[in-house]
Amino acid sequence: MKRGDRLVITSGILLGIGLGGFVDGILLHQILQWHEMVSSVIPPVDLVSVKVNMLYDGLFHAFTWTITLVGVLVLARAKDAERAVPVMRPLIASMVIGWGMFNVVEGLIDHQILGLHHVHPGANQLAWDAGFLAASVLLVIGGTMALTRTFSMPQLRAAH
Amino acid sequence: MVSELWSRLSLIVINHVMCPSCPTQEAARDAFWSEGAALRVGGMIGPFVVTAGLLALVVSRLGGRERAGGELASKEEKP
Repeated sequence: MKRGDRLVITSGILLGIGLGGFVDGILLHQILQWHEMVSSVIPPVDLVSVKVNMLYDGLFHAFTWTITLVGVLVLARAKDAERAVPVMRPLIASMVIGWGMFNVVEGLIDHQILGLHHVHPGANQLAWDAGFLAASVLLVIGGTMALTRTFSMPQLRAAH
Repeated sequence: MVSELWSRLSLIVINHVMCPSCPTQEAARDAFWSEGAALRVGGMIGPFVVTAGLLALVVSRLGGRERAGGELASKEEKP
């Protein structure tokens, strides 16, 4: 592994955190409207409480946007650095790792510890939260396996 | 005349550009800072901070691996 590979992995994880946050915010908060950032402690039942949740969602998106931007800048730095393998495989694998990592941490802090919101509030909310965590752990495991495999493939190293 | 124009312009900007539906925005701001705000804001920022810490851990371990690889390569180069 060379410096460029480390930068690609770092940028991939950052992009995974940022884009994964956007998937959560855009898909689950805005399109499906399963939950919002603080919808379990300030239920969006009137215009004011909807606006408070909207404000928290906006701040959440501001953070995901910033992380994504940092990921793009780190990837730009990796462009000219020496690498052992081509960019695409480690980038995709580390993006999957970053997405899963963020979801695990967010799921534990916001869903389980603080209870700010739940994935799909209602009768089976614990099952939805557990499923979200399990899927996120699978993303981390799958991404790590793909990344490890990428660096152990001699044909990739030889091709580069 | 000018001051009246200025005040009317300010009113238009505040009501229609900067702060549409001000009463609900003000109420939302008050609700944002209501009891438990630190917990809610912490819960929003916390996952980013913790994940960044994990990322730093991963990157430092990769750096260690990179340095180890470099040392190995330099040893191999020496006769």
